[in-house]
Amino acid sequence: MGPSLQLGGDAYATNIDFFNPDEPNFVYFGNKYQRVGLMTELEAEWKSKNPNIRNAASISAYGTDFYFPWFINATYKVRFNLWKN
Amino acid sequence: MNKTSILTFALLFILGSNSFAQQNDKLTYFVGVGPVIDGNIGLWGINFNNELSFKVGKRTSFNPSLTFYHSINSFDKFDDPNLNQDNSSGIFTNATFRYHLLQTKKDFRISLAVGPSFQLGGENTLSSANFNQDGVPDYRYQIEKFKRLGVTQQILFDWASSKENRVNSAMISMTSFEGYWPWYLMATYRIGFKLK
Repeated sequence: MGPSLQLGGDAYATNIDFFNPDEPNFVYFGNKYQRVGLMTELEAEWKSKNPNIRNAASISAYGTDFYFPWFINATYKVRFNLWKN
Repeated sequence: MNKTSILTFALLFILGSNSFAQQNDKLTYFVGVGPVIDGNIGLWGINFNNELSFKVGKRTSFNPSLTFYHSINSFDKFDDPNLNQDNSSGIFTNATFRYHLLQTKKDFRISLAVGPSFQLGGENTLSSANFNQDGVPDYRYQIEKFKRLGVTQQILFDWASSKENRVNSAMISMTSFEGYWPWYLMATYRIGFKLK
């Protein structure tokens, strides 16, 4: 869990003519995001056959602008032990 | 190709042909970061690069890679933040073929690479701002979603690291789509880990 800076954007189309459902009027909106939010992550790690490689899977959720979770991520990870001590 | 460039290539080939040291560099993983220019709409941003480099010959390698790009800001200055919402992004899946042109005795290496590039991404740009009778602006955006195949061309500089199984690398890459060159111009500093 910790702070997370998002650089990004989104764009969507929406109908702005609410009163005339037969003739929808679609308008595009674009947003740019440069904002700080909160990332939380739950991870499970386990051994593989190779002693220098470990596997992990995690679910993480990102919340920002008083909306949680804005994004949910599921990640599969392969960890390499690069330097033998 | 004209005579001068053929001569230059021949000269580089002769100069470099016997200077390759034997190394354990069959498989190298590169990871890096650097700035990007989106030449189409005049934005700058950041790229994160991941690449596996398989050595296939004395001077050649095959390199599948995954690059993430997102814009940060425009080169233009705007007082109204609503005019500064333009952004673009891409996940580039590349597979390049690299050729080492030159290598010095101190292990400084110059290479060229070329290959196809598949982009998943998009761009949002402001298309108009119309003011109504009350002076309230109405901003209209133009949205493009990209799923397209292009070409990437790269110039790479590799040099030895103080650690034995690492290598430093700087890359300039030009990625082109729809006949526009370069749509994305990237510079990336990378660290390579020799895995095999």
